[in-house]
Formats: sequence, C-alpha cells, structure tokens
Amino acid sequence: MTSEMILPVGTSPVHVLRLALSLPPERFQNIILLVTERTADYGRRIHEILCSEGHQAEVIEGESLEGVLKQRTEVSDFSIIMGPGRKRDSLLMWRSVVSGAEKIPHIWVHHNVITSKGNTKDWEYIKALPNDFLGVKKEKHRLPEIEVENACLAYGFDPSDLEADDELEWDSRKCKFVLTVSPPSGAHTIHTKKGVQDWENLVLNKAQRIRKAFGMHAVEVWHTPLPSKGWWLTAKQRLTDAGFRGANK
Amino acid sequence: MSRGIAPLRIVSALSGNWDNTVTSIQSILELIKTKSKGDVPSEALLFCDRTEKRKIEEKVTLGELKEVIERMGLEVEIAEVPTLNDILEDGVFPYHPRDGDIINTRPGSGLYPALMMNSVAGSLQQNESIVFYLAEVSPKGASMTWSRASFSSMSEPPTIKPRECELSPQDNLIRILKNGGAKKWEEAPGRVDYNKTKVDEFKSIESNPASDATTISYYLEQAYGKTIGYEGGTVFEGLTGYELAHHCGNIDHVVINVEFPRDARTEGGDMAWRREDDAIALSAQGNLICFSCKFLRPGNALTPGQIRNVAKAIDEEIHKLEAFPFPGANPRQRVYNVLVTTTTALNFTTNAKGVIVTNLEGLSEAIKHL
Repeated sequence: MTSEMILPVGTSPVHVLRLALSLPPERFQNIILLVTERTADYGRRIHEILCSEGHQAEVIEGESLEGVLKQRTEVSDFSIIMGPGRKRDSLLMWRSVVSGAEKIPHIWVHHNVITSKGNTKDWEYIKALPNDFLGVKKEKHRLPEIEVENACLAYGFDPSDLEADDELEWDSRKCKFVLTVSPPSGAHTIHTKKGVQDWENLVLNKAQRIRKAFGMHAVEVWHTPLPSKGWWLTAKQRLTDAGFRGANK
Repeated sequence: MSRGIAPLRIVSALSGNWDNTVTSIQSILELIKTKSKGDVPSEALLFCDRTEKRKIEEKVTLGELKEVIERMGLEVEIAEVPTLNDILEDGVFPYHPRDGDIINTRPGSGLYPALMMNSVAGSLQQNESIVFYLAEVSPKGASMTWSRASFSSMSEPPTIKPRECELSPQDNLIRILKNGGAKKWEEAPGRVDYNKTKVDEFKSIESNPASDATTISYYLEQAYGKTIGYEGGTVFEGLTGYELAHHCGNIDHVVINVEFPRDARTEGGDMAWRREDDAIALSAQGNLICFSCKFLRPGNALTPGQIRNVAKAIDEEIHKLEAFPFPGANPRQRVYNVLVTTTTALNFTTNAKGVIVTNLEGLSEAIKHL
C-alpha cells in the first residue's frame, strides 16, 4: 500500500519544486505533477530535477487525472496540496481523487509563519491538515532552499541573463527573485512631476515584466530610499501600491 | 446512500474584496432558483479573519455588508476567526458542517476551501454521512462548476457529481468602485445630452485621415453643442462616455471621471490621486473596462518633432494603463484597459500589448467581445 501526493504546477515552478523536494520519498512513493498546456514545460523540468534527486514522480495533464487515478487501486491514500496556485486546479484535484480513486483526499497546505510585518518568521513548511476520520496526524516537512542553478533550470531561464541584470538576483533562502530598484543619481534634484513619473513608469513596467515572466509570487520588489519630498512622495506611494517595499530618505 | 438533501446553507469566506463574496453568493442563489423547483438556501455562514476584516472595514462595516446579504433573503451569521496563520498553527477551524451546506469556493484565500473541505471529511467522525455541495464560480463570473458530493463513514465510497452551468453575471459597477476605494465618479452623459447625428458626423470626420485640425475642431464643437476653448480633451472624454452608455451594445453601466484617492499629499499639500480613470464600464459579460481618453489633434503631428511628441504621449498613456492595476483585487481576468484616442494617434500605438487602442469611430467594434 502506498501514498501519493498530487501537486499542481502553476506559473511559479520553483515553489512546486520546493514543495516536491520537501517530501520524503519513503513517505510518498510517488509525486504526481499536475500540469496544464501552459505549465507542461515547467512540469517536465521539475520532473527531471526530482528524478535526479531520487524521487519517484510523473507528469499528468489535468484532464487525464481522474482517469489515471481510477487505475491506481493499489494506492492507499492520496494527498493534495491546496492554497497556492489557481483554486480551480486545487478543486480539480480534489474532485478527481473523490471521483476517480473514490477516496477522500488528505489535504495539505503550504504554511509559513508570518510576522505582523508580513515577513516569514522562521521556515516554510508543507503541512497536513489533521483529520481524525481520515487518520491524518499532525505532520509537516520543511521546504528546502533552492539554488540559483535549479531555479533557472525550472524556469528555463539562462543564468547568464540573471548575472547581466544588476537589479535582479535570486534569493535561495526565500526562493524568490528579488528586484531592487534605485532612484537615478541626483534624484533629489529632480522636482518635476514628469521627471519623477518617467522613472516611476520605467520601474513599474520592469516589475510587471519580471512578475509576468516568473510568476507573481516568485518575485519580491524593493526600492532603495527615495527622496522624501515633492513628487517622490507620490512615487513612493505608487510603488507601495504596486507591491514595492522600501523607505524614504 | 443518495439522500434527497436540498442545498440549505451557503458557507463562504468573507474576503477584503467583499464584492466577490456578494456576487458569488448572488450567483449561487440565482442558479439554484433557476435550476431547482424546490427549496432555496435560507442561511449563510461567512468566515471572516482578522486580516480580511481590517481590509473590509476600510470600505464598509461588517454590519452594512451583512445587510446587503440579508436582503437576498438569507439569515446571515458572520463567524470571526483569527488569522489563517493562527488557524494553521493551532489547527482549530470553527466550522461544523451540516447536510445541505454549499461551500462557495470563490472568495478569499485558497486555504478556506481547504479548511472547509477538511472539516466536512472530519465531520464523519461524529456523523454517519453528509451530503454537501461545492459551488465553484469561475474567475470571470460567467460559469460555475456545481457539484453534489456525498460522504459516508461506512464502507461506501464517496461520490461526487459535477456539472457545468452558465451564469448571468451579478456584478454591480458602483459596488465594484466602492470596493476598489473610489471616492468620486459621475454618471455618463444622458441620451439627450448630445445630438446623436452630430456625434456621428464628428466620429466620421475624425476617422478620416484627410480631415484637417480645423475641420475636426468644428465638428467636435458641433457635437458638443457649444464653443470649445482649450478643453477639447474634456469634451472628447464626455463623448466617449456618451458613446459607451448609448451606442455600445455590450455595456451595462458606465461612469466617467472616476477618482481613487489615497492619503499621500503632494508637496503643496494637495491630495494626490492614486488613479484616475476617464471612464469605467461594466460589460454584460461582467468584464470591467477602464478607459483612458487622449485627444490629439491631427494638426499636432505635422513635423517630425510633433510626431515624436504624439508618439511619446501615446506611449506614456499606454505605460500608465499597464503599470497601475485597477484597485480592489478584482480578478485580473476580468479587467481590460482601453485607450480611446484620435485617428492620427493610432499610428503610434505599436507598443500596446495589454491595452486595446481605438478611435471613437471604432470603439463599439473594439470592445464588443468584452
């Protein structure tokens, strides 16, 4: 009798890679990577990394999941992760287990303890929701760090492009790309609305491009201190609205 | 084990984007009323965590929100819970599932459906069986996967019967604006505020590349019905609102001059606006369309320098639309940006990726699919 975990591959593939790598192979004998047409390449690359790390995994297209699970009569329980990614994928997994395998899935979530300031307090975990009826006990596994090579491999991104961009770097502990923008030199001499807005539009568009490329949750955006006067105050507020963190001088 | 249990109670998260909760509940009720002859749900249980409560109360009180949902004929219970973080820490989620519960998966964090569905399975520890429903309203609000599920604590396997249903969107533009924090807006010009024939003439003349600046200004004045000084841009915005309200078949409601304020002030102490939209429209399909109007006279683009200026102005406008997301966490699949400009300027819009660019003549055609 075996346990299998189903993970949906979204547009932030490193997150899925972390979740998958955290699962002990002796606890989950198989990892099913659920992909869509859009995320099939990510799934294939994650599968490659998982196999090289000694995990048993397979890539399955969303529409086929129910049919595949119908055949898995030897599997004693199926776990799914809910929370990250698109809700419709979580619910598709849940319905497919109930309908295909005729079992109630064990639900796992991604858990990072957040401080009041919104930072991660210690480590991030994949955690089971305890359930007496299903016999699910308290259980959690710490998510590992992902090095830049594997991150770039999962995205199909050339690491030399990352090296070439001074404002963008990979944080292996947070497992996120970090974009840090700085105001132009002599920013305190720029007083016109247009001068400030030109810079502001430039960085907002760069942040948007990077978020689009790597997925919203895989990117953290920061700005170094901005002048605390005039239109820079408005720029600071607009950057905050767009999810930037940072302070005024 | 299939017992005839009707859908009785809607169980949902109450999210900071509270309009999402209201519209999804409306959609569920609408669907049940249309498809079933018998009972409709009479209760709603809404979970609200501390973080979301703070976000909601920036815009409306929980009491007001409760009244909105009660007006749909539901007896509402709001269960305030600590943060989701705390719930995951101590593992206690105060939901006691009942037969006939409808889990609304649309609003709030994806952790809510996880906690709710785990609670349903856990309830079999005390009960022999449970029949419940899953209502998955799509992000566009135009369809729903409606499932009836049945779990038993005995040896019977669980069952689920999903079906796809089409929905008529339940959105309300004013609610969306309030939810996004908008403080000021005006209704679009009325049908009799402009002379349709004159407006059509202006559109036709303006869209002709051979028309010169003087002719276009003359016909703009004719359409407006008054002499225009430097406020050609404002008049053009008004005409766009009029066209949207009365001559675009897929538009349900449109407002103009929408302002989203925030606390920051400029150096001079004036209120700085986070975002201003020349017009915002809600389409019959439930899409939110944000319009920016840029009136650039053809006479402005004669010399290479003037052409550069027009191209730059258009570029900036497109950047602005792309860079500032619509406030209020509306599903991004439902938000579209449109730049309405003059025909001459259409030649300079090669950088528009996520923005639809059109002149007034082509407006209706450009947005008819939204």
